[in-house]
Parts: sequence; structure tokens; C-alpha cells
Amino acid sequence: MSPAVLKVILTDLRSRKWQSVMLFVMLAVSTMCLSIAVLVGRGVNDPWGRVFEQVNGAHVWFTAIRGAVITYEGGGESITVSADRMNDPLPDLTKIGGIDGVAETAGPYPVTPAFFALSRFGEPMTITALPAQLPSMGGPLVVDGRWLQADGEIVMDSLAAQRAGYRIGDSVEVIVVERPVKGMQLGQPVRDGKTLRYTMVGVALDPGFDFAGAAYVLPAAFDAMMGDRQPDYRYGVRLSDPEKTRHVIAAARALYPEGTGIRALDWLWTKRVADETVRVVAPFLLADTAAALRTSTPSAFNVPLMLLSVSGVTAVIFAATIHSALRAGRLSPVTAIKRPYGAAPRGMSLPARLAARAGLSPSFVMGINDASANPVRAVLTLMVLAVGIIMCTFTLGAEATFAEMQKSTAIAGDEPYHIRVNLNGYGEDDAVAAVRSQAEVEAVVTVGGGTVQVNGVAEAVHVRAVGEDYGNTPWWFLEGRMLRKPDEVVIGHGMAELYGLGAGDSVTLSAGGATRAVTISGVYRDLERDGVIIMMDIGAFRAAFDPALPVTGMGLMVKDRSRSASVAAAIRSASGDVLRVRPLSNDPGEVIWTIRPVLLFLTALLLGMATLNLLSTLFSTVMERRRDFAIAKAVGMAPRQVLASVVTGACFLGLMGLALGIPLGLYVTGALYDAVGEIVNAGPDLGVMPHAWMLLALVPVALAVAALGSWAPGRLAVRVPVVRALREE
Amino acid sequence: MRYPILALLSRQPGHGYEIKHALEHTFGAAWNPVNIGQVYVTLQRLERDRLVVRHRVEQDERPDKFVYRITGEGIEELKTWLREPAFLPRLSDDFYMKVLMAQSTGMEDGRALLSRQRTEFLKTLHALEDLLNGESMNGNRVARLLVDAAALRVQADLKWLDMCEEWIGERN
Amino acid sequence: MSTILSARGLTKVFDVSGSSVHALQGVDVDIESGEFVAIMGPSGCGKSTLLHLMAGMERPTAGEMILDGARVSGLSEAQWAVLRRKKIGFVFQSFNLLNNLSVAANVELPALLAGVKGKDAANKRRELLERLGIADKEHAVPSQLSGGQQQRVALARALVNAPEILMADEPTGNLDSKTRKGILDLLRQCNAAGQTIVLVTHDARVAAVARRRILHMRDGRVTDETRTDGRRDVKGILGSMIAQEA
Repeated sequence: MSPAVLKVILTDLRSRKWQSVMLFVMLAVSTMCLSIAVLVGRGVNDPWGRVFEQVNGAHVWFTAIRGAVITYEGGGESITVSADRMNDPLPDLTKIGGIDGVAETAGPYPVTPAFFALSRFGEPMTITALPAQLPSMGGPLVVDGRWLQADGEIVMDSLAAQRAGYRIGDSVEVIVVERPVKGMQLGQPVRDGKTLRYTMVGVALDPGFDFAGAAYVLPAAFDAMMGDRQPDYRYGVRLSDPEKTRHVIAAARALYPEGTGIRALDWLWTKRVADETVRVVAPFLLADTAAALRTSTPSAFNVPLMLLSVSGVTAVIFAATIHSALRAGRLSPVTAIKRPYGAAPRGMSLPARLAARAGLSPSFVMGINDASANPVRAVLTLMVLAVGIIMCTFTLGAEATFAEMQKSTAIAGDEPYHIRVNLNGYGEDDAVAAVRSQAEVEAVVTVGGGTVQVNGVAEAVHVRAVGEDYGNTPWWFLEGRMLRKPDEVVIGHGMAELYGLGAGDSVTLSAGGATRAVTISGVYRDLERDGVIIMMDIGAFRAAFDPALPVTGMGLMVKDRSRSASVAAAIRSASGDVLRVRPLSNDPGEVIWTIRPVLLFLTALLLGMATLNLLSTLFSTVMERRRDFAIAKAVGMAPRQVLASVVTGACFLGLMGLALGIPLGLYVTGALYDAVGEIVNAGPDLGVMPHAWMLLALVPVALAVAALGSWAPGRLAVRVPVVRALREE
Repeated sequence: MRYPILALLSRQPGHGYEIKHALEHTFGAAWNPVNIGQVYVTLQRLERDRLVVRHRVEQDERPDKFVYRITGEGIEELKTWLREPAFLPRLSDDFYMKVLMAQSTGMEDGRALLSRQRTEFLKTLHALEDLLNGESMNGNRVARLLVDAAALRVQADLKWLDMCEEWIGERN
Repeated sequence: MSTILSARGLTKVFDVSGSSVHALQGVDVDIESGEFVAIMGPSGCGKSTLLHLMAGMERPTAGEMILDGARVSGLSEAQWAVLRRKKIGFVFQSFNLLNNLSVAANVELPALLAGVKGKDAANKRRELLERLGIADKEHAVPSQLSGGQQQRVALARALVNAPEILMADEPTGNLDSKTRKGILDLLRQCNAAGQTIVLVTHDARVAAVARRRILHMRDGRVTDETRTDGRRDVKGILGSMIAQEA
């Protein structure tokens, strides 16, 4: 590029400082947004990216827990450890290695629960014995310090080390505990355990998907730690096809008798972090999720990808400007000088003509004409405005959803109960009596679990068998209503999708040879089993399939939710501490306060871009129409009227942007709800649409954007020097 | 008047009044009326120069009239005149000298002289413009062109007056 | 006969990239109602600047002006805009019509800006276009018109609010001689009907259309004023001119 051309370019940019700056800002923001979108997109679809390649990790970790029985209730695994089973032989995990689809195995490694000693209470963790030679698959990734070499050493995972504030070289106190017989309660004060000291030599990332902290010692040290107690065992498998994870886990479970204490933690499960309330937000919390799960932050931060997005933006810019540039080159000088741009004799644009016919004052008509005379430019500005409005609409929808969630998180598929009770062997009638005796309990729903086959399909579907006051439980319905009669059932969203069923359909349920025809009265959102579940009256289930189906738990609704904890305590003590009672938190606060800032940020960003774009467009228009403004002022247009014309044009565009943006926004909101629902396997319609009054409130927003955007160009128009501008023509 | 009369006679002979009317017809309102005395004086001079000849034609009950005819020499003279382009503008008008001398002799206020001259010229120019715009000139292209010539000359002289004004301004 | 516009000591200095240009150096002007005044001078003499100052499109660096009895020095932009609508009509050399408005809309614009109702503005417009002989071009767009037609539209626009003074800056500069005559005739007719007109030109033949007063300018000053009252008989003028040369 010759210096002369360069000089022309720089002078050109400098002569329109405002526009150049705004153009630059918008391009920078676009690139940033594009990169973020790519990031989030990658994060959403594959949060772990290259992590597995890095650690050559296992897709599933199986843990055989001594003395445990595993049951499912309330949407998660429940591990019940009973004293009389402690000495039962552990199931042989190596059988899993023979399953079709398993490419590599790691372990079995001995593990034991333990606690870090901290000032007030212990942090729970799992200690695994690993040799000095790290395994090729499924081993932890040392990120700081080094791996174990001597028996007095310990390597901790990054999150645990962070929480406890340990650094390399520190002396770590570890308390090995007796496994509590009544199951593991986290955060409980430490009880009589042996305290041992180790030196921390390294920090690692543990790819084990376990929520408890992880630490490693050499096998000899582990044996010394355990003494004569028996450890649990942990076994990792790497699959040839990660998509088949569910199949492999199902196959593994099928190898052992029902209820065998084998826990399976898989990489798919980690998409929904153990904490229920963070479930929906996981894709946005890549860094936090990674830390919580002790893997490195997923590799959406990826240099080649960023380069790709930058070159993508560049390509778009090139494509957008090449046409104009070629045209400029082909212009004949004489023609160009004689007829300046903008002198296209097309008469008034359609909107302007309509405005004139409607009798609007000439400054308004001029303003609308200026804004709409060049259709390409008007449409482009409109599109940017519409994008901002679309984001606004979505944010409003999110806020409406948050309001719903404040009422009850059932909208996300959580159980709507206020208190969860595990019978733990207590008699059904006694349990019901015990809770009903509490005056504050409003409704009691007994829950039992079973399986059926639906419409002859072999796969067993879990049944949530409910009894007592289940009729008014505020589950979130996507279709239809709660079941009222014994021959009615409601199905979870997952079932509806998988089996193609909906409200009003009739299905045949079968189990153990018996069949029963039922009608689906509604489809509801249930996060348990990803919504592949049927809710049925327990009496009807017992009558049709299994008269001995036990009630294993209860869901309670109390009059005042804030008192759930005390009511739960009362129930617990009334049962002599047999019943396991747990208040369910209904605090969507964390979700809301994680998503809300992101949405507000994006909304502000996009609206800001829309304003900038409007500003830029208006500046261009005012510059091109300099002569027209000069003429208008010469024939007596007052400064106020000139400003009014520019603002009117902007408001016109703003209102058009609304007309375009709101319907699109509603569509996008619905689509996004469906998309997020799909990602977290929570079904479609994972939110409510923005209310009408919220959309009405967007009108002043659009007008404010317009007013803001037109202020500076308006002042420019007012200041056009009449005589000089006319002479320039 | 010489050459226009020669030109007229080159087409056909004619007597005094015929020539007068022909001139008036040709030049229309630009030259109206044509002075018959001037016509006769010019004819006499042309005869003296042997460019035209005169015949006496007798008329009953009327005085004799003379019919004039162009001679061969007259035709040659006309041709020569037509062929010769002018190459000098005429500065024989007094006012060029007046303005310049007024200033150098100091006997007359140059500015006032200029202003008076300008006023007169403008009056003339306005009259010429009125004439051009008037009905009487419609259709007579020859007349229009002559008046245009006059107007342009006056315009040029006015411009020259502007220049003189500048000169006077610088001297003072 | 009242004085419509009176100016004393009008001065205008432009700052053009560092150096000052003294466009006007103390000009006094009085315009009487019903007059047709021409301002003549070579290019750069400041005549256009004087006209712009009189129309309020530029502010004088010094000097006072009284328009229709009210002092107008120091008026704000907004106040001048109102004045221009009501009291001053302006015709430019290059017509300066709004290209994306129809002829009708162009003419009505000053009226609508002044708050005249749409119907009344339309009536006035029709009347003016009729008078100027371009009624059939009502819905055309300026680029479809010839120079002469555009200037007529400009004239109609300038007259739509019945201004006290009509100002014209080289109105025939961009026109050929035939069209020039038409426009000048129109101006003369307007003046005959009582419109006060101030015309700026460098062409003496155009200035001839003005009755009585011609102001001569040079280097930002009025150097001469000629009054050409009375008509000179030029019927036989050529005779005298040709006779001179004999």
C-alpha cells in the first residue's frame, strides 16, 4: 500500500472521528460477543472438551461401598449403610471390565472416607491409594508440586487444597473416621477418629466426578491409615464410545443383584452438578463447575478457536465492504462531483408520505423521510435494534420465570414438597400419623417406588407411586393436569418425549405379568430419571401389580415454608430419631443471581450496541443531508424543529425495531427455553414468557434508546451553517 | 450608412425614399425613423466616389426623382468591405479620454465623473433592455442583434468604469 | 413610503484557516417598501454576504439592523428562523430546492413551518404556482424540472408566506438567456404588484430590471449609488450610434 493511499485512509478516518471510533467499538464488541458465543456454545455442548484427552480420564467411576444399599428417592441416589452388612463381601468390580464398550479400566483402587481437620468442622474427603507410578488412564493430573514418592506424603485435589488453604509443603491433618452407620451426613462435627499427619507435596485434578474432596497417598501409607478396617474400592472405565455411557452403566448394574452398593459416577452426570439449584446454570458456570469437579476449566478457551472467530469477523467485514469499495472505484469523477450522494431523486419514502398525509408537521415528516429514504441502511439499523429488543424480551422472560421460581422451583422440575421424609423402616401408618399430628403440616404425600413396562416396551420405567394428599401437589405441568382417579396417571417430560405420549393418551402398563390400562391426564416436569417416570396412585399400583409395594418416604407441605426446618426437627424427634427428615430448600436465589447478572450484562451490551449503531447511522444521514438541513433552515426551520426532525426519525426506527424485535424475541425466548431444557434434560418450555405489561414497558425503553442515539446527531444538524453548507453543494 | 445603402442597392436600384423605407424595414425599431436628409447626403458621397450612378426619371405631375444604381466599382467596393475583418476596437469615444484626463489634470473630480458616466450608461442600458424586451422587436432578428451589440458594448464600458474606479481608489 | 429595512455599519469578518477576510466593511443600507433595489459588484465584493446578513443567515461582526421597525441584532437562531418564515423570502442562484420533496411540498414548506394549516397552505401554493405558470408541475420532483422551472418553484416558495422583502442572490446565474428573461419578467411583475425586492448580481443587464436604485459595491463597501429615474427614448438609438461612427 503506497504512503499516499495510506494517508487518504487516515485522513478519511480522522475526518469522521466519531464514526470511526464507534465503528471500532462496535467491531470490538461484535468480536467479543462472537467469541463468547463460541465459548458458551462449546461449553454448553461439550464442557469438557479436551480435558479427557489431557488426563486420559475414565468416563465412569464405579465405587463399591462396604455395607451399603443404594436406593433412589427424591431424584437422587440414597446410600444407606447398615451395620449388619459391613462385613458382607464387596462385589467384584472387575466384572464391569468385561462389558461391551469398555476400552480401558483403572483400578480397583482402595478408597476410604476421611476428614480434613479444620478449626470448626471437618471437610469430607475421599482418600485413594495410588502407586508412585501414576496409572496411564484415569489418574489424577498433577498441576502443582509433584506426585507421591514417600509414605509420609499426600497429594490433594485443587478445590480441597483451596478450601482448606493448604499450600505445598504444609502439614495436613487427616482424620480417618468410622463410617457412620446411618449414612454419610456432610458437615457433621468430627467424631472419634484417628488423626494422622502428612506433608502435602502436590496438587492435582481428580477426574473422579465425586463431590467430596480427593486426596492420595501411597498404598503402604493407606494400609497404615486403615489399620484393620476394610476399605471401599473404586474402579474406572474408559469407553470406546462415550455416548454409550448410560448403556454401560445399565449393563454394569445388571451384573449385580438389586440394591447392591455400587455407586456409578459418570461424566454425563457432571453436567448437572450435584447441587440441584445450580443445575440449570451449569453451562454458564464453566469455571466454577470445573473447580467444583476438580477438572481443569474446559478448553473452550482455545487459541485456534479465537483466531477463527477473529478471522470470521474480518471475513464478514470484507464481504460487507467489498461491494461499496468496488463501486467507489468504478465511479467516474465528473459524475460523482456533479451529483453528490443522497441526491437520488426518488421523492419521499412511503412512511414519510403516509406521515405527510396524516398531517404531521413538516419537521416530523422530514425526520421520518431521512430515516427511511435509504432502505438498506434503515433495514440494517432496524436489525441491530431488533437484536437489542430480542435480548430485552428474553431477559424479561427470564425475570418472569424467576418470579415463578421464587414461588416454587417445581418449574425447574424439582420436587415441590417442603419437607422430605425417609421412612427408614418406620411403619407406614405410624409415619403418617406422626406427621399428621404436626399441626403445621398441611398435606402429606406418601411415596413409594416401583417399575413398570409401558405399552409393551422392554425397558423398565420407574413409577412414583403416591398416596394420601397428592392431588394438589404443585408439580409444574407442561400439559393437562394432575391425576384424580385411580385409572389416571401423569407422565414426566422425558417419557412424553421418549414415547411420544401426551395428555389424553391411553397406555398399557405391565409388570410381573399383570397389565393395566390407564389414561394420561397430564405431562409434568420431573428431574428424576430425566423425566422418564410415571406418577400413579399407590393404591392403584398395589391393586394392579404389587400389593406389597412399600411406602419408602413422604413428601410434606407445610403452612409456612420458612418454618420447614423446625417442623422437620419436630417430626424427627417425635419419631424418636428414626424418621430421616429433611427440609427441601426452595431457594432459587443462587440460580437467579448467577443468571441475572449475565443476562443484564448481555442486554446492556446489545442495547448499547443498538444505540451506537443508531448514532452512527444518524450521523451519516445528517452529514449527507447537510444541504437539506441548510435549505430548511434558510426557509425558516427553527433549531427546535431541526432537532425534532432528527429525534423523530430515530423514534420511528426505534418503534419499528420494537415491532420487529418483540415477535422475534418471543420466538427466540421460547426456542431458548426449549434448548436449555434439552441440555439439562428437563424438557421443553423451561420458563415462562414475558408478561404483556413488561412488553409494553419496552416502548419507553426503545424511545429512550432512540432519544439517546439522536441527541448528538441532532445537535450536529442544528449547527449546520446555512450559508457555507449551501455553498458547498 | 454607406455600406448598408450599397448593400441595399446591390440587390436592386431605388430612389431616396425607397432606400429610407428599406432601411427602416431592415432595422425595425432599432433605427426608426431613418433621416432622409442623411440618406441623400450619403447617396451624394457615394455618387462622388463613383460607387453609384444616378438616373433621372421623369414623372408626370411630380418633380423628377432620381433612381440610384450600384456600379461595378460599387460592387467591388462592397465585396472588399465585406471581406475585410475588423481588428481594432474603436476607442474613438470621448469618454475614455475624459475619465483618464479628468484624473490626471485634476480639474474634475474623477469619482463624480465616473458616477455620472455610470448613471448615463445604466440609463441607456436599461432603455436598450426595455427595447429588447418590447413587442416591437419580435420577429426582427437583425434588429435584436444590433441592439444586443449595443447593450454588450455598454456593459463592457461599465466594466471598464469599474476598473477606473479601482485605479482612482488606489491613487487616493 | 416606509423603510422596511435599515442597516448601519454592517461589518463581517470571516476567519478562514487563520487569516481574516473582511467581507463587509461598514455598509449602510435603507430599503423602502415597494422598492426594487439591485446590488451590483464584481465577485468577492461582498454583495452576497450583505444579502445573507440582511436575511439573518449570517451574523454581522458589527453593525445594527432594523427590520420592519424591530431591532434584529442579537436575535437567536430560533428567532431568526421565525423572522425568515414571516418576513423574508429568499431565492438562490442554485435554486436550493429539497430534492426528495415534490414541488408542492417544497412550496408549502415555509407555510407549514410557520404553523399554517395544511389546507390553507395548499391553497396558497396552488395560487402561486398558477401565477408563476407551473401549476401543472405540482407533483413533480425538482430533478424532473428544467432550471427555469425550478427557479419558479423557488420563487413560489419564497412568496408563499407573503414576505415583506424578497431577496434574490443571482437568481438567473444558472439559467440561459431565454429563461433569464422569463424570471426577470416575473420579478418585475411581483414588484409591480407591490413586493419589495432586493436583487444581487454581477451582471449589469440583469440589474437593469431593477427600477431606480442600483447600489455598487467594491471590496466590502458601497462605492456608488445610481438612480435611473425616467426612461430614455431609444427608439432611434441605433441611428444616433451609427451616425456617430459615420
